[in-house]
Amino acid sequence: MLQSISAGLAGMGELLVELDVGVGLLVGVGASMSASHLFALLANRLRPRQILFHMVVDALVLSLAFLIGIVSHSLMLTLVAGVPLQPITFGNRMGVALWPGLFYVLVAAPYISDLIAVTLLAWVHLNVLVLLQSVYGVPLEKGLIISLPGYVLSLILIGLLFAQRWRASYDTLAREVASLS
Amino acid sequence: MTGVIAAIQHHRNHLRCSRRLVVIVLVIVAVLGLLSISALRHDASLIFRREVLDEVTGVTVAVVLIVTALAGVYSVMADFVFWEGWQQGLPDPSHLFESSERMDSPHRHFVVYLDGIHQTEESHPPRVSDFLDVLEQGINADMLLVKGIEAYTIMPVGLRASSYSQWFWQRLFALQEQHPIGLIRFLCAFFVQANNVIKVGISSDRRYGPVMNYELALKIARRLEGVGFHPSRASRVVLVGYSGGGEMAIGAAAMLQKICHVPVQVITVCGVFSGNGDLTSVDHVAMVVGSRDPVATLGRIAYPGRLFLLPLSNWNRWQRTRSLHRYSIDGMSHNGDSGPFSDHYRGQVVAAICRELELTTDR
Repeated sequence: MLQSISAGLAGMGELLVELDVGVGLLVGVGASMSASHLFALLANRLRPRQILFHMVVDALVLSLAFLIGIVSHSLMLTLVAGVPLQPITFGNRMGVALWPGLFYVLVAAPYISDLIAVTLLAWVHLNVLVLLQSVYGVPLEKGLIISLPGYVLSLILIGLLFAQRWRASYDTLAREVASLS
Repeated sequence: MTGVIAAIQHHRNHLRCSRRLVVIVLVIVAVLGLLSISALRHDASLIFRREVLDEVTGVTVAVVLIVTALAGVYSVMADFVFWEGWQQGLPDPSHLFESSERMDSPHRHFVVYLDGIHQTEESHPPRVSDFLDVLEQGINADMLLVKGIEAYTIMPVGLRASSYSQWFWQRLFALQEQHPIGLIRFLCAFFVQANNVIKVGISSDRRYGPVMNYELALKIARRLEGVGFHPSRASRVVLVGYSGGGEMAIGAAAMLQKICHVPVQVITVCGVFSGNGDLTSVDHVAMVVGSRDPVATLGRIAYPGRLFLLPLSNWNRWQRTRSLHRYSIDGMSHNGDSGPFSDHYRGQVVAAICRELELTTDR
């Protein structure tokens, strides 16, 4: 059982290495995450130009959050595994791990949104682990230590953005609806 | 009389012929399938390899998940369009109950029934109608039972006439009427229930719930206005929600209270609800539950807001300040012959609802 899981993860890692789409994926993932909360902007009656502006800014901030995570992985890889520090090369190799994030727009679906979000974020993290194993030969348990700080940092930044912008928008909407009646 | 019997007989023969035709078609398809598999044994053996089956299963699950999510998003956007007023569908609630032309109802208590996720139109299925007749007879004379509210559409119409999706429902129901075979009926029931489950999901979603619940509360208020409800004469509104209607009732209760300016209380029957609904201003909630109801049990897992693991959920916070009245009916299931509308349990469910209405009448 464990062997088959391990073989499956190794195969997944090789596939990700072959894809080699690099950090270009970051912007796509950021845009998808930003689009998942389009309703918050629409419901608060922003104009199309304002909506576009907010979406672009959100997408860039989210991309930045993931980029900071990747830089952190790179630093940890140097510290723990002794791999020379090459953030740009590392980023290009590891960027592909974010591909499940392209489906983050589905978080807009009602009620099952949290489940989708948690699944996609966990999947991204799993991709990072298998890529570390495939590209740098880092075992999974060591990979977990290497990737954890960057992952937590990314999640905190995403959480902050969520609290500052989208949650605030939804709360405003709820207040506005309550005041109508 | 003879003509009616002949018509029934004709219809029965027609159904029998259709069934035979379907069986013949299925047999032909099965034979052709087997012949194809024998002719392409090599390819067939490749198709039934475990890796291929795994891949097909994975792709199917992914497609179902994506389609469900997209259907949910589409549904949310349709609700939002109404809230935004693009179709001038929603009236200003401040102008409700103003008209001096209508006759005020002599009733003081208004019991509003919200049906489960099987609902397709404003009229109820025969079994539910029978149950509501018994309930109507069981409640006091100063109570009015308001039925026929479609809880899963925005406007006071059934699915067949709902905006943005009527093209789909009209075709589906027409297909069912023309070909009343089991498969079409199953597909019809599946799509209706999937649509209504999505609406229940929207109602319980913390992001979209306020808009959806506001729209439903407004629809109920307009209906109440139509039956002569006036805040100055009425003393309360009671929402009775069966299954998913329980979630809709809990979601709309606080908003309805604000619109109608009278206390609103909720009674769920085999209720499947999330525990996300804002109940801070609602004093009375009661649950009528069956001891053999698998759907309600599943609902507790699907909606973790009601589990003790999340003490800060709206439901758990409400329970710390108010007391929940729970009426358990031994042996009752969720639907069918052992459900709340069955001959066997109907009386007990009505008695529980009436008991709750009596208990909370003068408080």
